[in-house]
This record gives sequence, structure tokens and C-alpha cells, in this order.
Amino acid sequence: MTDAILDIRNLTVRFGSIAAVNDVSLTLRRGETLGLVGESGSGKSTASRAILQINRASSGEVHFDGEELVGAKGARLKALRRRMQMVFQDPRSSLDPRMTVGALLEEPQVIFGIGTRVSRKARVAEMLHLVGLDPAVANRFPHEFSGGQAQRIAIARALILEPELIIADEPVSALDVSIQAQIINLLVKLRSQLNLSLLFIAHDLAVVRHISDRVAVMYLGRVVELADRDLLYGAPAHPYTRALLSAVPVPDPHIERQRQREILKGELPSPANLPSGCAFRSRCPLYAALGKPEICSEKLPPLAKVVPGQSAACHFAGETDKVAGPSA
Amino acid sequence: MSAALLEVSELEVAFDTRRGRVKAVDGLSFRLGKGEIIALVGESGCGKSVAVKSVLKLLPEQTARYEAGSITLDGRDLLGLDEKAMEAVRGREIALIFQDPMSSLNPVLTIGKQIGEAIKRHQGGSRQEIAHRTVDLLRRVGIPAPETRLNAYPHEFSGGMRQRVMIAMALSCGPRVILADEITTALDVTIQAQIIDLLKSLVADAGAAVVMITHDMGVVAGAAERVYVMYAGAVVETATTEDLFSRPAMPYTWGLLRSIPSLDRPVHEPLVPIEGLPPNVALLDGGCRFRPRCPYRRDICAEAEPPLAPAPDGAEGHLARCWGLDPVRGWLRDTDWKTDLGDPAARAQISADAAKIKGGKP
Ligand SMILES: Nc1ncnc2c1ncn2[C@@H]1O[C@H](COP(=O)(O)OP(=O)(O)OP(=O)(O)O)[C@@H](O)[C@H]1O
Ligand SMILES: Nc1ncnc2c1ncn2[C@@H]1O[C@H](COP(=O)(O)OP(=O)(O)O)[C@@H](O)[C@H]1O
Ligand code: SF4
Ligand code: SF4
Ligand SMILES: [Mg+2]
Ligand SMILES: [Mg+2]
Repeated sequence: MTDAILDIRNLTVRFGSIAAVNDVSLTLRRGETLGLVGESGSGKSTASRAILQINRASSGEVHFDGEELVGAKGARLKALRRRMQMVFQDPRSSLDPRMTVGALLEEPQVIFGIGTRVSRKARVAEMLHLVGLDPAVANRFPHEFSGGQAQRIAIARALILEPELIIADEPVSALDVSIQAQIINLLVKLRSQLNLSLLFIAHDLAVVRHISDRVAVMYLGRVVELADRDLLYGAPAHPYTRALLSAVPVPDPHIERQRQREILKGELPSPANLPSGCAFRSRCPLYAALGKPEICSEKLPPLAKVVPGQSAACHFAGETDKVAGPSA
Repeated sequence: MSAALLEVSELEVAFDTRRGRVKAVDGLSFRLGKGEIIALVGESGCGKSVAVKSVLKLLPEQTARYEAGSITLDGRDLLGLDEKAMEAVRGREIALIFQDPMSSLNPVLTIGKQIGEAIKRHQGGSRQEIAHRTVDLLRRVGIPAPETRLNAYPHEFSGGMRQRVMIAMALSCGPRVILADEITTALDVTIQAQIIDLLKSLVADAGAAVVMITHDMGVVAGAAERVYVMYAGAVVETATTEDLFSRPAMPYTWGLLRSIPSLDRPVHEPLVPIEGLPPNVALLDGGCRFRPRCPYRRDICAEAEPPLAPAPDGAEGHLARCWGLDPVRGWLRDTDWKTDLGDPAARAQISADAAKIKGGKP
């Protein structure tokens, strides 16, 4: 057993000429929750699918508990896959509508030849109870449940084989706010009860803040900031992180009125046609404020340490206060 | 309060379904003044979209029934208008922008053509004038180098750009009222901030008035002057944005505010969800509609629906629907909603009921 449950090194995933994930290195410590945020198309889902070997890595390594996953096949991959499970955004499309909830939860156990019929059913009941559902719902079908309930079922299914790692890709994005909080609290409870490590992907920075120990921010396939939660939210080092935070609306009219928004101009450039040097250059307020320094267009900024517990990929990471910052 | 431009009062809209008649909007009232932005907030299924579609009579004729109430624009009754007169109102006086621009844009027509059609329909003009106005509109909604984008198809635009195109089309005839139904829900926060800024500047510059429909309290706080909180087809609380956030009056609004994982709250403070299942309007039973999920409920709450009555803070136009606020027998008039989360036993009961999917999905 190693301290890092997941160790991703220089992972790149290409689709044709575009690199959806570009030279990403991340570690997830045992028992830790790492949040992964970024705008739509930044490569979050592709990265998570590449970890589970659903997308093929073009290069790089993914170690799970010290074992290389990239290129793993057959029985070895199956055995490793059992120890990491995925939860998706839309629970209803990830649950086979023709199977009862009971059958859905039994299936992974059957695939791995675990238990007897009786013990499997008992385990199903135990899991349903754990996620806050009455075990009697086992003979219902997925369409009979609301979105939040269906997400509980998907979580139960992911947990039934006692995995060590859960990768949750936008697990609450499709839910109403009141239900979002139920599912976040459920994940927090299960995480400590079952000693899980969690890779939590979301585009909502406020949600990620509530659940993560550390957070990685992706932009166009690369990690541009990686930091302990309080550092990232309290003193963001990358201009992109600052801009993202500044765009999150806060449910307080006083704060909203006084806030100096750092609104990013324009949109994500096409991944097929990236700006040279730093890919954030076309939208970077700091680049503009500094008078377009040449280094930004010439040299790719590496992800480098700013302070202990915080790294950023920006040539001027120490100077982000040169632009009006988020005031929340 | 300014004179009402658009006023909806006591609106009731039902649908004929296989399982009988279902009331999707049940006594909705709101008013929109000139140059104002108001927000209708609530979770999915609370009737927001049905309400705005009613204003333009866009609901399916076979099944939708306008059972009671009135909708007036500048004092003129809209519900009584025939289809031809309604045609003239749609787009020209009131424009509706939907959440999903892809389903309302024609995928096989270029952007330039679609906006041009809208201009032609409402105002006419020579081909050159129309092309000129199209470029102008696209520039106003922040599409860079618009003259080069006229021949692009919707799929070549990102979600945010398509939403801008929808706004451009809505603006093409200079409407007085814009109904914006969850127009930023599917967008990244960065693009959401741009679109909201755009809406605000349209109100400031062009004098349009906006009904913003959203489930995001943060968006409301930043943009709206007045808020209507909806639950299961009815307004349960309304106030100026200021009052609603500083002195929310009733349990559903409290629940909404407590469950938001906002950047301004202490990070270690746990989220307090609203327990239970989303409401199912087909299963309302005459008592308070929030009762199945309300941890402050008492016996009286099952007996009758509470009226929308002045909130305890006495602020003008601050109304809430809750027996607990009743001036005589109310028990929630002095409740500190941040610390008093209701009866723990009731909370536990609500979760236990939800675990059994009583009522099932909405
Ligand atoms: N199968 C594929 N073929 C080609 N391109 C792909 C494929 N899957 C993803 N991409 C591209 O890779 C990039 C990253 O996509 P990805 O789905 O990982 O983003 P994401 O961060 O998960 O976004 P979202 O927030 O929208 O879920 C995008 O440019 C996307 O268009
Ligand atoms: N065409 C329809 N026929 C029957 N019921 C409908 C129809 N449209 C909406 N409803 C019902 O009306 C209620 C309110 O829906 P809607 O206005 O779309 O909610 P919101 O926009 O707040 O999410 C829901 O219960 C929904 O299922
Ligand atoms: S390297 Fe330059 S362009 Fe990139 S984020 Fe830093 S300042 Fe902006
Ligand atoms: S009337 Fe009763 S059930 Fe309804 S919100 Fe008030 S306390 Fe809760
Ligand atoms: Mg994704
Ligand atoms: Mg809707």
C-alpha cells in the first residue's frame, strides 16, 4: 500500500490533432478528496475516463496503488477496476432502465462472482439503507425515481464492491440545489465512513470548495493551478482561477453590488487552434495588464510551486494582484 | 412601485393528463415595471416555464387550460386575445428566450439568415438594411467580428454564442418585455457572467424590462430588483431582493438559502439540505404545499393552504405564505432561520418518508 492511491504522470489524451488532456500530472492521496474544476471542454471528463482506461492515454502513466494502469489488460485490469468506481452526472442514463434497482446493485457482485444469492441480496439492502433509501425499493425500476434518488442508487451501485477510489464526474450538476446538498452531504458521510478517496469533478467552484481537500483547475487540457483548498480559494495564484472565482455569483445582494468583477472576455479558444506559449493568453487579464509580455506568447509556463501547497502555471503567478481581484 | 408594464394576477394553469387534471401554476401573481428586472426562482417543476409560456400563450392547446386569473400588458388583457393578435405581441412586444438555444435555432439555416428572418418578419426593409441590422445586433450582444460570422451555422457556435444569438433575435424588434427562461443554466460561470452583464446593459440602455427565470439564488442576488420564490406552482414568498436575502420569511426560502454551497459562507459550515423529494403537483392535498418537506410544520399546516400575507418585517411588498407567520397564532415570526433548523424529529421523518419513495418521482 502506498500513500498515493492515484498517481498520474504526464498524462496526454489525443483525439486526432487535439490534445484533450495535455501533460497532466496529479496525485490523489489515500483518503483525500481532490476537486477538479474547469470550463466545459477543458478535459475533466476525458482525464477521468483515461484514468479508468475508458479513453486510451496517448502517453503518460497512471498508477493506482502503485500499479500501472495504462496498458493493463484482462484479469489484471478487471481486478484493478473493481477497486475504483465511477459516478456520473446523469444517473438515469447510467442505470439500465430495464433492470430493477435490486438487479442493478447485484450485477457488479455477480460479475465478480461475489457471494451467494442470499448474501448478495442482503448486501443490496445494506447499501440502499446506507445511501438513504428504503431497501424495499429494490424491486422498482430507475424511471420511478427522482433525479436525486437515482443518484443515490448510482452511488450505492458504485460502492457495492467496496472500492477504494470513487471518481465522480459532475455528480450533482443535474440536481436541484436542495437535492444537491443532500447528495454532497451523503458523499461526505460515506467518504469518512468507508475511508474512500474521491476525485470530484465539477464546474461549480462553490460545490467543489465544500467537499475538497485540494483542488486542480484545468484549462484547455492542462492543469493551470493545483493547491490546498484554502489557498486556492483564499489566495488564487493563477489569473484564470481568479477569474473563475470572480464569476461565481454569490447569493448576497450587498456583496454582488460591491463586487469588482473580473469578467473574462471571449470564450475558450478552439483546442485545435491554441494560442502559442500560454494557452490562456487570449483571455488573460494579467497578460493585458502587464502590457502583453513576450514570454507569455513564447514559452509555455510550467506548473511551478508558488508557496508550499500551491502551484500555478503562470510566468507571473506572484503578480496576480496587478489586476482588480475578486472581492468576495 | 412603478406602474405595471406586465402584470400577472392569480393565474391558474392546468394540464389534462391521463391521470386527470394537474395544476402546474396555481394562483401566480407578479408585476413587472418599465426598465425593471424581476426574478422568478424555484426548483425544477415548480411551474416557472409554464408561467412564462402562458404569458405568450405558447402552451399546447389540446391539453393546457387557463383556468383563472389574468395577464395584462400595459393594461391590455392578453389571455383574451385571439391567435392573430397574439402573434403580434410575440416577439414584437414580448420576447421569450429559452434555456436551450440549440432546440430553438434552426440547425440548417445560417445565423445571419435566422436573425434576418426575424427582422424581416417584424420590421421589413431592404436586404442591405436587414444585413446591416443583423451585424449591428450581433455586435451588441458581443459576438466578435460579426460580419464574418453571418454564414456560420448554429453548431459552429459554442453554447454561450448561441445564447447570444438568441438574445440578438429577441432584440431584433425592440421588445418591451424579455422573458428569459433559465438562459444561463447550461453555461459556464464565466460566460454566465457575460450574459447577465449583457442583459443588465440592455435594460439600462434600451429600457427593456426582464423577467428572469432561474433556480440560482446567486444570479438573482446580482441582477434582480424583486424576487418571487415559487414552490409547486405558487408564489410562496416575494420581496425586494434586498429584503428577501436579508430577512427571508418562510421555511422554503430558508431551506433554499441554507442549501446553497456559496463562496461567501464559512467553508466548514455544513450544507443543510431541504430533506425529502421534489414536489409533485399531482399530489397536492390542500394543506401547505411545502408541508411534506417542512421541518417547522404543525397540525394547522395540513388543514388549509396559508394565504400570501405580509411578512413579519413589515417591509412594503414583502409577502409570504406560511401559517407560522400568522400575526395571531404564528410560531415562526421571531425564528432565527440560521440557527433554528426546525424540529429534528420532523427532519428525520421527512428523510424516512423520502426513502420509501412515497409518491415517487414528480
Ligand atoms: N471522443 C472524442 N472525440 C473527439 N474529441 C473529443 C472526444 N471526447 C472529448 N473530446 C474533446 O476533448 C475536449 C475535452 O472534453 P471533455 O469532455 O473532457 O471536457 P470536460 O472538461 O469534461 O467538459 P464538460 O464540463 O462540458 O463536461 C473537448 O474539446 C472535447 O470536444
Ligand atoms: N405540456 C405539459 N403537459 C402536462 N404537464 C406539464 C406540461 N408542461 C409542464 N407540465 C408540468 O407542469 C409542472 C411545471 O413545469 P415547468 O413549468 O416546466 O417547471 P419549471 O420550469 O419550473 O422547471 C411540472 O409538474 C410539469 O411536469
Ligand atoms: S503566463 Fe502570461 S498569459 Fe499565461 S496566465 Fe500568466 S500572465 Fe496570463
Ligand atoms: S405553513 Fe406550515 S408547513 Fe407550510 S411552510 Fe409554514 S410551517 Fe411549514
Ligand atoms: Mg465532462
Ligand atoms: Mg423550466
